Amino acid sequence: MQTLAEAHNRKRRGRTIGLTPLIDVVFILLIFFMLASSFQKTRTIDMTPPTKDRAAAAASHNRSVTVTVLGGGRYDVGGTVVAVERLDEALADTGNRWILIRTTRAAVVQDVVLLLDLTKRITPLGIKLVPFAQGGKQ
Amino acid sequence: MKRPLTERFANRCKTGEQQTLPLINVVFLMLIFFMIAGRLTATDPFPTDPAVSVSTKTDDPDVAIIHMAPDGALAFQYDLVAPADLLPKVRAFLVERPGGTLRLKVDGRHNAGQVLLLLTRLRETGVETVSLVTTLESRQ
Repeated sequence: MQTLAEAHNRKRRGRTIGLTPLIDVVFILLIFFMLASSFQKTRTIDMTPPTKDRAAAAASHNRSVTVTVLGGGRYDVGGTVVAVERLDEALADTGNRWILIRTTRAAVVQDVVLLLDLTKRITPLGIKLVPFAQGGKQ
Repeated sequence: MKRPLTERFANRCKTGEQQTLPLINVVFLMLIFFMIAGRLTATDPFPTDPAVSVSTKTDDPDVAIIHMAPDGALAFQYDLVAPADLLPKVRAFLVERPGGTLRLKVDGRHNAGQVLLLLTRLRETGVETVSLVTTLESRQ
């Protein structure tokens, strides 16, 4: 007849960690991380919101050039329409001036961001966004 | 050289748990990969493909985020809000966290005029700078 201690020892020796519950937990964790993880690396670009202050806008007009985003990869730089490929040259010709950015109805955010990228590299003074007039000619 | 019969027989008699070990190894490696390489983020209220930019500025941690859908619908801090309710929420955020910045996430194909209108309204509440979310490369 075996003693109680022997029976307990035998029971302990025979016990192993089951792999099935472990796999279940690992699978659930894997599915969670696969669904919840994001691999998209986002960056940001700073924009100064436009002001409706006409006095400030008028003061900056003296030393500025207006760039209108026409959409479809076309820009109006101080009255000259240029394609996106020639935009950096056109901006470089504007000299040391503020750049006022206007948009038209056909312009999309990507066009404006492209312009911001170029202007931030070219002009030392800075850029200003001009408020979009709802229902206006723009 | 041909393996002895006993060895081949022993391999065939592996228990079910032993056979699953390679699978567990692969699953563990995948789990570790997703835990390290992925970044847990809240799901955007609207599907957006941000504009591509050369900007390398990374996100400011102390920010509130505004999402704008192509139809003009707005979300503040991942919650849908009516256009009239956005500015009071932004004001409350700025009172709560002075110096906190705002991040705007819109699709790169979104109408720029709509975004400028929103920016103009934000300026009227005292917002000096807005960070527009961009990516280094497009998903398309």
